[in-house]
Amino acid sequence: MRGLRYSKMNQAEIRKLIPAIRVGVCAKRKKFSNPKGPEGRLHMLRATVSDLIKNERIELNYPRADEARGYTERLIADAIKYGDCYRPTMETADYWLTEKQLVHKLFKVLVPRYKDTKDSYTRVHKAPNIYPGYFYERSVLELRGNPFPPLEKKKSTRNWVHNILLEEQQRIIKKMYA
Amino acid sequence: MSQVFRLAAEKLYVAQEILDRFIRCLILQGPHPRLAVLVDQRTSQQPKPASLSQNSPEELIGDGILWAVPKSRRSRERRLLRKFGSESGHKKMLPILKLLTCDDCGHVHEPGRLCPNCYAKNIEITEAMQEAMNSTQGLNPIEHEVLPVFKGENINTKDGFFQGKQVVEVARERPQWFSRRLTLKSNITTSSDTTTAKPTNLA
Repeated sequence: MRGLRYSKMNQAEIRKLIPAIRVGVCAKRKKFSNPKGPEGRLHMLRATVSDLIKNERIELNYPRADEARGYTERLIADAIKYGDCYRPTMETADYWLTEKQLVHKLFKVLVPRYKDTKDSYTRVHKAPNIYPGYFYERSVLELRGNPFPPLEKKKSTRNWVHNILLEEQQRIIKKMYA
Repeated sequence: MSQVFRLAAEKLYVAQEILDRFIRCLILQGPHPRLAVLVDQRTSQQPKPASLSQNSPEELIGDGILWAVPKSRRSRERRLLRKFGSESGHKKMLPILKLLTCDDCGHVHEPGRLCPNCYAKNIEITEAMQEAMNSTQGLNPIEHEVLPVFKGENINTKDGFFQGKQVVEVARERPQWFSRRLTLKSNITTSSDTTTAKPTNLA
């Protein structure tokens, strides 16, 4: 019975072994009913993850994009934390990436790209809906730092009314105390 | 005198009531059992009251058991018309009123979603770049970042690499809105001699 007691120290160590995912991940998996069952779901997600790492920007439906995002982030985070010389990480990469040139890409291109960042490694955008037609939530899933033209630009809030008024007020104050 | 009139009125009222009841019996429910003898054979074959003839629950409810149920299968045409409407036909879908205008191109888009015009332009270039990237890299191990080079741009490369990046030649002209400097980080300076400039004109 003594062997079954887990001390608080062990729990903290276990928590540090798994890298934190920088993206919201639902504890309950998305089912994605598949004729092959849960294994089929993993095959499907594996194809999505491989496609994302190969093409760096893909179009698909939103639920699948959201689910594949969690797996991609975990894969990249593992690669950053442990590197290619650690066997379990290499086996994970070998499973998740169907084309083997992507395993090289993961460790030699993506790890140096994301090593020093504190942000997520992927981005998901909501693509425009197409009417009329068979409706599904379209989305675009992409890796950060891809060479393609950016989809969303940072919109400056400088021309908002309250910001203009605040700027003017700051100028007045500076003049007063100059 | 008034008493006489009152009594007469009462008797008249009672007589009227009896007559009314008799007529009602004849018309609605069939003849009164005591008067059955006086009635014709035709009228005696009238339907019996509901409580006596009907026994099973189906007969009691009647067609009610099939109320609020589809009578026939909805055809594929009707189903699709209901769900997706018909642009040329007689069922137009409801207009989408929650729309915003894109700051860059002025086209209309749904809030929280990309502008369709900007996205269409973007995906055209992206797909051309992806095709070039995949054909250049092929199945060889990918070890370098990609530097896209558009038609008309010159970069001095001997082995297909420049500044540690793999040169990928895209068979398209670079669009005006996708400038080369966008891909560089803002804190990178091109000139080697840099000095910190102190601000001079402050207020």
